[in-house]
Amino acid sequence: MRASSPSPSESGRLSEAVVWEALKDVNDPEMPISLVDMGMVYGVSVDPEARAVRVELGLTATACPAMDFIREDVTRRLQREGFQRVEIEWVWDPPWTKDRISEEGRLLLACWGISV
Amino acid sequence: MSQREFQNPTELDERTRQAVYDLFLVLADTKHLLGLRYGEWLGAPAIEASIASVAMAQDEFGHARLFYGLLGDFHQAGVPEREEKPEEYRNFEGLDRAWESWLDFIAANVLVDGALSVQIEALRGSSYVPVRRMVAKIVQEERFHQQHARGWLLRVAREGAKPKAELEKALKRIWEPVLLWLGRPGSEHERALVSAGIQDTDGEGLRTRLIERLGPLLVEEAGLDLPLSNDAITGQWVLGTALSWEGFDDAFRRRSRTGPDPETFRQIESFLGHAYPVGS
Repeated sequence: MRASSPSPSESGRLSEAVVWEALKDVNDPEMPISLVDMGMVYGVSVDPEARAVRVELGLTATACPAMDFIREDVTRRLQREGFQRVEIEWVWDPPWTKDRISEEGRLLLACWGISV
Repeated sequence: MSQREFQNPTELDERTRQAVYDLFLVLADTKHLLGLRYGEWLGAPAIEASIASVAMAQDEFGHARLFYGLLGDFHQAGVPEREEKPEEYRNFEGLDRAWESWLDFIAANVLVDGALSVQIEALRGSSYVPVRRMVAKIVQEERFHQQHARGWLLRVAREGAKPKAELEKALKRIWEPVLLWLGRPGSEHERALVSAGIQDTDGEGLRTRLIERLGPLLVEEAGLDLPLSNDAITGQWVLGTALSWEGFDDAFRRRSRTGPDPETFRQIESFLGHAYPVGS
């Protein structure tokens, strides 16, 4: 578990790498692995000065019932890193397919008895 | 195609902006109501069909959510909020009231869902970037709908003379409205959408694509009697009857602005006042 929000002087540490690392803590609400391992994070861009982050997320289906939960979970997790503005863009192109799941993700899913 | 791209509605000229807004609203409302109708068949004739109908309903709601999301940008660009009355709703007219039988479900699955796919596929290379980015995902999800439609159509058509005749009746009930829905040739809307590169062909082009897709299935495989035939010389599928455009409204893509019946409207009413919950 990471420490709580950094002080303003720490805004220099707000980087894309920090975001990717933090998103490994956010699981897909319907799968026991993270959004990163699911291959749902399409892109991350950070503006450290403005303490702003923009995350491009691809959902597995347009009718994903967990859209709002994912938005909340990501926002809350990145706020904990010290971001004040978290913008989420839903990306549909290229469409998410299970080929985007990472090797580690596949192993974890296999442990849960889910083969992909 | 060497043409400019549009990232948001403010970059469109007024005429095109209105045509694009009308198109997206027609798609959003139609997919919303198609989803509602599919969802009413949770008690379909077989458990597999029940599962399929609610899965397809969910897809349609997902697509409606995407199109409603796009519309939010238009309101920011000054296009007024829509009214909140049934007659303002722009769904395909064959979805105004609940379907009477499973055959109506199949007919809509084949024709309405089929026409929606043809329309959306024509946005694949759209100059309007936000919609272009959604097309691949929607098309991916729609593939199953077409498989389902085809499977049930052939199953019923091969069941015997009576079910086949009833299926023909169900198809004919929405045949002309579906073909009209793709757009009136030469209308202001069609010209705006095509000249700005929003879609890659006009309503006539879309109709040709739809009947080229449906002809082999409906006539050759299922042996159904519909006003559609294959031209022996050109090899193309042609409509056997002229379409009647009387009363057709280009902005609503339907012949009357009556909207959903009272029972349906009660179900969607709460949705109307805040119809654009999800931004892109």
